[in-house]
Amino acid sequence: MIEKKFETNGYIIIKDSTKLVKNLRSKIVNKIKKINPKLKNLSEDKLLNNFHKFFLRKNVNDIRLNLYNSINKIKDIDKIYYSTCKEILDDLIGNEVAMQKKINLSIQMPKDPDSLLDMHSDIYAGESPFQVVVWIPLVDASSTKSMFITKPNHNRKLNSLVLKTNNLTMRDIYEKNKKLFHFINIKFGEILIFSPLLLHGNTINKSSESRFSLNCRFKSLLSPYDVNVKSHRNIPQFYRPLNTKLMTKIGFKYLLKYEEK
Amino acid sequence: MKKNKKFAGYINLKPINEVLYPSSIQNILMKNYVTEILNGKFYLSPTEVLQAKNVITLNTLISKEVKVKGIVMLSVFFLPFERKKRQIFYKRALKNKKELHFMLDEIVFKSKDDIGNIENRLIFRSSFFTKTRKKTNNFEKNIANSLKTSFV
Repeated sequence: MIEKKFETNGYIIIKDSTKLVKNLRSKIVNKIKKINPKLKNLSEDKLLNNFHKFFLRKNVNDIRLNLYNSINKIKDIDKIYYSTCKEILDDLIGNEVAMQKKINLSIQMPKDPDSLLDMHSDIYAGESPFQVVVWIPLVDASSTKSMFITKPNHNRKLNSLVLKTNNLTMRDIYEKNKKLFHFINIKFGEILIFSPLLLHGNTINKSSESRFSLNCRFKSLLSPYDVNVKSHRNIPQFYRPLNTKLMTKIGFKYLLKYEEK
Repeated sequence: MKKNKKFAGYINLKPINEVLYPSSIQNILMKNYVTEILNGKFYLSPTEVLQAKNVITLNTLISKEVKVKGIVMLSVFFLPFERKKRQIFYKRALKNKKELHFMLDEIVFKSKDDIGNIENRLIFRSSFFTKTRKKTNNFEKNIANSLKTSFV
């Protein structure tokens, strides 16, 4: 069922049954309240959705980096993040996984033209086609407050256009083919898992609320890292092994013994 | 007595998973790591002898004569390729009370308990993980063809 949905849509949305996302959001909100103690009585939802009312747009990237560093310092953050969707990842990529070394944080204030991520496929930046992105919204997100994605059956044509064009920009291609994309409609407490092979991105947030979301990449530990071209999207640069099973260790130590000779 | 918070950087021009880091970049990364993460003092960062059979520069850094608390390098990928040589290296580092910090791997070596962690990470130096995949074999072709949908 999960596989079928993923194959058709290129993504699935699941409920966070672990409540770990809720805990994670509380930790992040507490850090924001430390930055601005005047916000201490606001509910988490209200604070994040109205973030743009309390912080200047020019400061958003500094705050984001500050929070990004704090999030990545949380003890066992990698295991917490993985646990939110381990069962689904077991089905999609297996249970020996490589995880992106850092968890990313996006903050998209209303009408902010500086936090745009134009239409792209992660493979254009040398990432593995074997990976999925686990995208966790910290507030409800829909329409332009969310991210857009295309369907697998449209991706082939669009990808070919990107790779062959000599005069179109990414924005041109997106604008001309807007109807082939849709915005993800997702609630806080849900988790989006998608294939970043599919073209995706965001536009100016035309809603009246800010969007906070986390994202991190996962792949099977034993699937290829660098495909077609060499990049740094591998271990130890981009990925870390999260759980290496005993027989994998034994087998590779055997292999290395002969490679080392 | 004042605590020794000096750390030496170690530059090696061998590629890490086939990615080459120029010495200037290695130097900047290690200096930031020492000052920002370790709150230490950046001492020096000599470069490994490219033509040498063994890691003579690294062996010099872990000797008693170099008065630093530890050595910082980009990755465990810079350690000697032969297991026996690594074992000798670990022993020397422990004997001379030198910490080893591997920045990209996020691994710190302070005691013999950390050796297993480093050795496990060295698995990823195998060509299985570093080789760029450009072709599929028949078995892989069959797997790909068993899926009706194509994302690209």
